[in-house]
Amino acid sequence: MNYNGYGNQAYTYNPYMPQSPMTQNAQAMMMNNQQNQQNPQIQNSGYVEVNGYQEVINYPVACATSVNLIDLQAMKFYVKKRGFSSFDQPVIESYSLVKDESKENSVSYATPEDIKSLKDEIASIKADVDKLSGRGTTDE
Amino acid sequence: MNDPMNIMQMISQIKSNPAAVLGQRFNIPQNMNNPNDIIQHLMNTGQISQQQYNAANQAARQYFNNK
Repeated sequence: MNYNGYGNQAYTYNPYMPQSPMTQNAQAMMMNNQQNQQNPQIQNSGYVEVNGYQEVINYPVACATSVNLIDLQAMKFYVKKRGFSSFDQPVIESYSLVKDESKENSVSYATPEDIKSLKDEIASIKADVDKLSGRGTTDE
Repeated sequence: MNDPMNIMQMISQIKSNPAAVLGQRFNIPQNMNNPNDIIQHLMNTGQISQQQYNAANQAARQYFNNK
């Protein structure tokens, strides 16, 4: 950085002394640091949670972008998009979330009645083993 | 910028009407006082991005919900 006659700093390129490797490394490290600072953003799950359709209407959307909004109280999913021009009004598409009641996606767990029958069978087998070995009753 | 009179004027202006100074700084129209309108205007002029607003809105919600 050189100072010109007007008292300001002026950047001049000196072909005989291009940027030294030291400054290039420092600049690369600075760029990496800047990128690392920009990357750790707030983790969001990809959609915005709202309460009610009025909040969806009020949510600002920039041009040529779309925002996903979800209303977990009413189980609705909204997609709000806007065209390229600032005169384009936003378009809201709403989808309703329906709970899947089909049996094929559900997982069946063992009931206490099933386990009770297994427990009774194990107890009877233990009693037979004790009788044959002459040991006495075994505790569960 | 180094003129002391200008600095005093800026300080007095900020003290008397800080919102107007911020509005001038971001080229916000004078009759615009609704926050959502201001945010929409900043988005339209390209001063903020959608991701920035989403992150800030979520941070504000978390802050006020945890308070």
